Amino acid sequence: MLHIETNEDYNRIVDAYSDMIFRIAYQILYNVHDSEDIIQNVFIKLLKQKDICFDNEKHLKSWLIRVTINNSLDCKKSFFRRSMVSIEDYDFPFEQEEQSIMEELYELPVKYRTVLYLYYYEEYTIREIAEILNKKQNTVNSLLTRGRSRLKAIMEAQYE
Amino acid sequence: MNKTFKSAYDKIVLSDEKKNQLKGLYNIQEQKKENTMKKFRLIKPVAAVAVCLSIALLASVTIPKSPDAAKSKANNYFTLTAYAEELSSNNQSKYNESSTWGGGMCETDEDGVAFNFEFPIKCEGENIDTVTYSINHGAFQISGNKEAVSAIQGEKSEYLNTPGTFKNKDAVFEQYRSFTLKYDEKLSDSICLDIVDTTDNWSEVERAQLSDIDIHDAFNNGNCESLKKLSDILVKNMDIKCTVKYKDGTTDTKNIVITNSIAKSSEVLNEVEKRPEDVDFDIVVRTYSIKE
Repeated sequence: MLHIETNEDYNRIVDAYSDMIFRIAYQILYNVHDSEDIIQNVFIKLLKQKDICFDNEKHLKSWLIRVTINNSLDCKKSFFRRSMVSIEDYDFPFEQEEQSIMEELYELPVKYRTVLYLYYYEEYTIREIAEILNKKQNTVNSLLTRGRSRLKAIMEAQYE
Repeated sequence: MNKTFKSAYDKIVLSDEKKNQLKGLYNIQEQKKENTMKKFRLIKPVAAVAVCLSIALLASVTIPKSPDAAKSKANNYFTLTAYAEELSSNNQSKYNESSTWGGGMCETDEDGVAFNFEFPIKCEGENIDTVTYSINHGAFQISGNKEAVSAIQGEKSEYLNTPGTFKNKDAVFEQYRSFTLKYDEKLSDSICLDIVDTTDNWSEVERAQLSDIDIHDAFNNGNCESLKKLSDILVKNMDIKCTVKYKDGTTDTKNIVITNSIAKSSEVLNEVEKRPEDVDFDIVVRTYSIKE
């Protein structure tokens, strides 16, 4: 069982997962300021529920991912969230290829981006992604396949 | 691609300064918890705390102003107001700066759109017994604390999966095609009234109207032209009626229409709602008016 009993327990979670939460929020919102707000909301939620315990590290990580996605989608639904800001305006030290792929990913609907991120970056299996997103494995598989092919089509169109 | 994908995401990291701020939340939350417990002990014997709406943002309605109250009979009449501005069919309007949430939209799993627009209308008049609101397309969504929501009577709608507005974790909601209120009771302040719909439930013919709209562009790039076109389609077939029954048994009905336009944020948002980093930008506003 995993408890958050002390400041040290909490700090360890911040060190281990804040970048992951930031990336997930960012790949949904494409806005640094909104993503920073989401991280804060997620950790406040964690602290408010710190009396609950997680089965293990994997359970905690899944919970953080799910809460981050839900919070980010709620933020995205709002008419009046901050205006989009180009990724070029921020100090992520992307190489040209990396910059291109981030821009291409942005052309995809969020549902594809999220599945692609969890699969390729977090290296979750389709089954695990289905559990985290509360979707059927077939749906995740189809989102992954369609996301890959849409991304490929965007990339091909750009380099034609 | 996979290698580039990973290396790109590797570079999206939170600054140390922000991480330290996050670590500081622990002590802040502990302190808050302590303070809340103290306050709770003080207020507990006095009264229950009202459930508050977690209303996030701001009004996006424009309110046509009419100089005349449309009196239907000598003593029986009613008017419809939004944030204290009377509705009419005349086109003179001004932007309302009331602080409320306005509404929200999202893409659905079926590549459609689900939306939730605040319905900021109040009915006022003389000799009114009951007020009935009805909608032919979509539904009214009433959300709030369980007691207040369960007190509403009406014809429930099939469930529409739409964005929520009420962030209180204990909140419940119901969706209605029509609902009736006793005039004296009106809606409780602790509930939220919205118009909701999802294109996933539309017919193929209706959904075909969306084919010319770049929904992704509207949502993600904030393209107001696309967002306005989309908003126009979403409310195009919507027929909203407000029917009052007077104490003498007679009834009167007004139709409410929603239209959309593009305005500058500087005209629509009040100072509190403007963010320091925001420059003036286009925004889609909704107008509620009476259909003649």
